[in-house]
Amino acid sequence: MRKLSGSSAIALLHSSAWVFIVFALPALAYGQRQRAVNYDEIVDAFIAYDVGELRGEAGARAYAAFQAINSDDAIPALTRGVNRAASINNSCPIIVLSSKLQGMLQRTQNVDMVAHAFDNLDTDTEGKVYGSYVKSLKQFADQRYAALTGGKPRLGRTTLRGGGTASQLRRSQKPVEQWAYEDLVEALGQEKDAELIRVLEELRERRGAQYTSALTDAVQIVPEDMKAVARGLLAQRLIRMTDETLRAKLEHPDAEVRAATARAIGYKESPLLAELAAAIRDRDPRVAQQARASLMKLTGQDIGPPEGTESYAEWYAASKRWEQWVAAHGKTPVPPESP
Amino acid sequence: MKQAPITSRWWIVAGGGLLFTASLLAVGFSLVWYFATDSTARRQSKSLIDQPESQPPRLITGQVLDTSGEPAVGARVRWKGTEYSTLSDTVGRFTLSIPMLALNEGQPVRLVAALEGHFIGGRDWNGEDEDITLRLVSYPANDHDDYDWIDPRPSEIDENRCANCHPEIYAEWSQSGHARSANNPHFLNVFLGTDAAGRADVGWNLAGDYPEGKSVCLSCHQPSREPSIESDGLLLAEESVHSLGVHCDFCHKVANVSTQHVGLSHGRFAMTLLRPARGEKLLLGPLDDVDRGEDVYSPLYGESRYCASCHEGILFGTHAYSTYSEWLGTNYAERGVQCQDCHMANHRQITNMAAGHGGIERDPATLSSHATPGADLGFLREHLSLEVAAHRESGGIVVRTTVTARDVGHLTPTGHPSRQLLLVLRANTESGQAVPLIAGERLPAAAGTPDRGGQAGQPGKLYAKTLTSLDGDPHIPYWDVTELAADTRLKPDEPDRASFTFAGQQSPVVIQAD
Repeated sequence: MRKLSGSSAIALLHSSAWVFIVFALPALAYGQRQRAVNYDEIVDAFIAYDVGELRGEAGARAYAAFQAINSDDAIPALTRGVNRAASINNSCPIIVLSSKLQGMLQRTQNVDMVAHAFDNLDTDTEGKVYGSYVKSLKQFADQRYAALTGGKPRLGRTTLRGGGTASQLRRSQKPVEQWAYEDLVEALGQEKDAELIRVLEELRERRGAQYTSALTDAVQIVPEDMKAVARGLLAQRLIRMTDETLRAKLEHPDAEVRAATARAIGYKESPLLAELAAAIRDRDPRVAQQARASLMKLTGQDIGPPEGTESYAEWYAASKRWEQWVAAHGKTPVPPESP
Repeated sequence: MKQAPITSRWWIVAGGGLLFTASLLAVGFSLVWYFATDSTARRQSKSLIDQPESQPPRLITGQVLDTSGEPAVGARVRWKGTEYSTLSDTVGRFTLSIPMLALNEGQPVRLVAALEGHFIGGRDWNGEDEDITLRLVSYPANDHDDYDWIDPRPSEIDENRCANCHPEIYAEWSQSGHARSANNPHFLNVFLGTDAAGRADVGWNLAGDYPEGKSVCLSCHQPSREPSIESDGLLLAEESVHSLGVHCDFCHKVANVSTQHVGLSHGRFAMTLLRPARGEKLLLGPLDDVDRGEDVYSPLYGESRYCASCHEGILFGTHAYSTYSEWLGTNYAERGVQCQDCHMANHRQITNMAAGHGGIERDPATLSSHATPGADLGFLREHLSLEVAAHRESGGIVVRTTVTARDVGHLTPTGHPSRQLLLVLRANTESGQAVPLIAGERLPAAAGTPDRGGQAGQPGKLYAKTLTSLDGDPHIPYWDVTELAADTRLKPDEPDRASFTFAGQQSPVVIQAD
């Protein structure tokens, strides 16, 4: 049977492909088959349940199986689960798994298991949203190890020589084209100037939704003087998308994405004129302004609102005028006039 | 046929009893909207063309520069405290037009400029003709997790306390749900398994039933606590600023809220905080003209997105909180009506945020109330209506009801899934004898069985998001495995009509709709 761990588990979370786990769980929860319990599967299924993806009877089995965990043998799987949960930006699983693991570390007398947790709690999650949970859990494992062995806390033994994070060390050993996703994301908050631009350009080139998200986040993360660069690269990345995708991204909850999408539609001369007209009444002025600029570029028209207009009512009215214009003149961009 | 007189009276009783008996009867429904004019639009409502033609406006010209001396593009330049403002252009230049009638001779005009990434800056303009320069200072981009949160409560010793300079705002906030997010009785009932009188082990008990999950609550209910396995459970000691829940300093340190994982990344985990280094100050907010050198303008503070991570949540596998996504699904979102437009509408109570402490008189429409009503009866009564009509027919007494949630930008009730709106009908003879219902709905089991003080079985309707266990038990906390059995909540501005027929009587009948 396929073992779920690491990136494969994360991929499952994102693709909602839980059929495999659903079939596996009955045996896992009630021990009806003669094989070792796969705690990784239990933890993964619990995460799926906890974020609302695994419902009904399957969810109940996942929950029950997780609640039933009471063996030291589960500590490695819980440790891996904490690492995974810390990277998927969902609050519930990281908190519940951390609490569960802390309780087991508190109760166990198995020094090897405590040492395993300490060694494998991923310090690379530090600096991420839930990094403080992993960090405090690692400290707890360290103190527990010291208590069990009568020795001193070991915290610090995995610190890199010369300081810095493991990600910084990895990055220093490879060209940016070979950096892992996590390294690129971490670099956004650490690199500067030309190095930072290289990271942003790499995010623009990579395939996958996570890189779009990372480039979107980059607009917030990078220093002020680099925000325009990040916004431009995000728009360039979106040019590669299909019209259908761009249409969906105009509804994206993040205004940065919507604004970049409006810009990208203007770049690629996409026929999404009606969608741009609707975007002019976007509540976020960045989106509205960019939508108007792209419409003007694509149609050669300027039917408002005037530059500097701040009243939302006027933007709303202009949006309606643009929609009427698009309805009357078709949805295809107007090619530039011949000289 | 001549109809017998029927006395009818009706009113709304908010809340509902489920497991919390009387305690929940006082529970209201949070986050009720009403359509309000956008504050930005209001601020710009005065027209400069009102001035007499003989007095052309005074034009103030100048340039906004950033920290490095480069032109600051798109900065908002404003005559502080007024609606007169403009934006700097692509080379940082601006021209601000002010009606002569608005100027007071001999008094300087305080010009301020605000731009993302910078503290709000300002200087006086004394009528000089030459260009003036406004210089902005960028604020540090790094968050400092060793920051000491400012306690909002008044203090004679600590001059930095919020209430010392903002007593009215502090008073408003003190009455709000945010101030009581960590210690209000309803939350504690659910968290600790207590009842309204504080007696233990009488109801749902997250801390007891599911101890691994109890820290999940803290990211919204005690958001200023640094999250870690050590921040386990509630911190209710009064000397702790965290016991004050969603307090002033926390809210004004939120630089961004991601909606990328809305519902899954809760409370402060979805927020980007910007806490300054020790000894330094930084406060984010919705005003773009507070130029003390420590204030930052953030339009986020006028957006529903700001509220999203605490008012949307899949918890323990259950989509327990859905107010933000409900709002996204209404035309209120389409029209740009934000949470703050209703729940922070000032209603012209406060005109000076810091009277006697450097604050200036302002158009109250530009200020926000921090009472954030939603769960109080007065606010509910503004937005919920019940119409009742009754007449005799051959089959009996027909009572028609219409319940409407008006100007509310989400479902009603919203928020915590135990919140219920109950329409209860009673028909009695003048002597108090109950008249039986012969047609029409009765309240389901989710309204609480009579032996627990509930209303199940009574003629009426339940408006609620009803969660059940897999075998259909509606009395289940959301940290157990649940299913959404029914969602009968009121949709915005859509009347819900119902008909009830009671057995005919010759004598007068009193119809009571609660």
